Amino acid sequence: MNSIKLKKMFVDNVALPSIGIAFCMLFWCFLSWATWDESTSSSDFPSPITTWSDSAKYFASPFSHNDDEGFDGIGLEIWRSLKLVGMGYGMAILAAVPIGFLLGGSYRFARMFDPIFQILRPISPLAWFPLAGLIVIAIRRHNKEIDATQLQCIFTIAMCSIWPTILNTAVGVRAIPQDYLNVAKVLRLSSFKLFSRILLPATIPYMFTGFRLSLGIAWLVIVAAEMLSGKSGIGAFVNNQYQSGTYGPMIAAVIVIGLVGFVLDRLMNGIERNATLILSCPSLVIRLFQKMRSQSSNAFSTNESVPTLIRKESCDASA
Amino acid sequence: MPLLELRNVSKGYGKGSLRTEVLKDLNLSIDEGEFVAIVGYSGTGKTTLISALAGLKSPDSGQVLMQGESAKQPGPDRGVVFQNYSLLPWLTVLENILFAVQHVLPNLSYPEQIAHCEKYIAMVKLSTATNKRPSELSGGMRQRVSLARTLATQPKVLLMDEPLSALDALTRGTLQNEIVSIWERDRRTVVLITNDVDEAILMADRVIPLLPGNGQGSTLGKPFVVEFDRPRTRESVTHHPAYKPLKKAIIQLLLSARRESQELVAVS
Repeated sequence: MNSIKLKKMFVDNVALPSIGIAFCMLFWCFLSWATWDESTSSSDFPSPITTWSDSAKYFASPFSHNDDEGFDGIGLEIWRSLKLVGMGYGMAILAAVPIGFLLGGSYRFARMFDPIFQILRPISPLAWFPLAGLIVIAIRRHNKEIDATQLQCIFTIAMCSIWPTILNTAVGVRAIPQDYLNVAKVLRLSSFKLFSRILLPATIPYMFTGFRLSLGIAWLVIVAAEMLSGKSGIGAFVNNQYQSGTYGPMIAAVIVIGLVGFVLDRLMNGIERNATLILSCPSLVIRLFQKMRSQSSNAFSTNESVPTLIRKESCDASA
Repeated sequence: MPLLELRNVSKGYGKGSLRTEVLKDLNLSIDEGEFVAIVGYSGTGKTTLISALAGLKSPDSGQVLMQGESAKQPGPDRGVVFQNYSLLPWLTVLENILFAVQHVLPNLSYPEQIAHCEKYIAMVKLSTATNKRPSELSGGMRQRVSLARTLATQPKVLLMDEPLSALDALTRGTLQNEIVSIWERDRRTVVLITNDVDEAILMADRVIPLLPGNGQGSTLGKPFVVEFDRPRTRESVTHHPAYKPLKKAIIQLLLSARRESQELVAVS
């Protein structure tokens, strides 16, 4: 039984994906074979082997600057892109959660802004980029220290990745069952408690779905934005290699972009699935407290207070 | 002075030609320590009535009085056990109850609050499930939690909106017995809304039928006083010689009222 399970795990997670990758590599080889150029005796589309041999130097020490030839390792470029993504994405979700709550919670707010959101949402990052540039120019007039292209990338990321979180949070707020609100009404919860103890926890699963989708978009956008700005980061790396005709490193970088996006998505998926774990933090505290009490049941004062409490109430009931 | 009182309460939904009257001129007074059951078939406005009593919905006309004072807003003095449990799924059994207790009894220390919750969890026989989440519990257990939560807030009136109608017959029977025995120890004022005549007779001191009006809104019928001795159990009540005639009378009243209202609607 156990060996069958192991075999199935091996087939599902190793064998079958390997076959898929092998197919893709074959197709890649075919592509480079079909684009063979006699005159230069090389392929227009580099083969996997050429790609690796051309780009190996970027992977040799990925997180350092190569002083001899004057280029940065691929890890360094990725790290620069991730920093911008982090800032833009952070800005986006910080703004998106309150906006999402307003959109889901207030009928008037929704009537006012929902149409605008629906129009802004499908705007491409390529279109946001110049718009973000205008704002950056205005900021630069007051503070010359700021790195304009970075800021432009951050704004573009924020504008494009804000929508999934806004919309999912709003859906989450609208999906809160009337029952929970009735409980709150009967207990006469203050609006702060209503928000922190009922609305927020009830919405968190939806919010985290939004966070995951937003991060996916942020990673899509950074590459586009850096290709336009062309200064640093993995997007600029791809663009520069393309312009200088070194296609091997370009292909390698594209694969790395995919891998990083995949890892980010897995990471967020893990967090999303454990979103309820965050909510269970208070119960861990309570359980710890119960354990403490049961261990030191003689020393702890509760044991004296419990019977008095019960006695008091039973008097109330009989009176 | 009655504890909870309805005076000429009417309530309807919709506007203009779409308007349907649900409750029409209801008068009801409930004394302290009384167990009142309101029986009605579905669609007669049972949930609207309990919402009005709880203050969750305000009547179109008339008054809801709590100890002689107008009670428009809901509050913990009128605890509600909802039909669909309405437990917060991200909290454990203890936390669900603690959440309510912390809010209603803020003067107790934290250990006292927890002890208070545990007492009520024990009362509904759920001590083994203290740290479970609602999703891990059966429907009957969830309703026990909901009952414990409401009892733990020590309401002056306990309002129960068809608390057992979502449960299977066996679980319902067990819970009916338990609610009766808890009530007999506790003697809190209870208003139970139900569509089950047996349940009403088993539990209540007074059974009041909610009769569908002829499209003009439901009205309350004449109350039936249930004089069986307490402590009651399902067996002692069903074997009582007065049980069958009483049940028959209530059901006939409900059925004939429904027939009349249907005929009137059909004619118009």
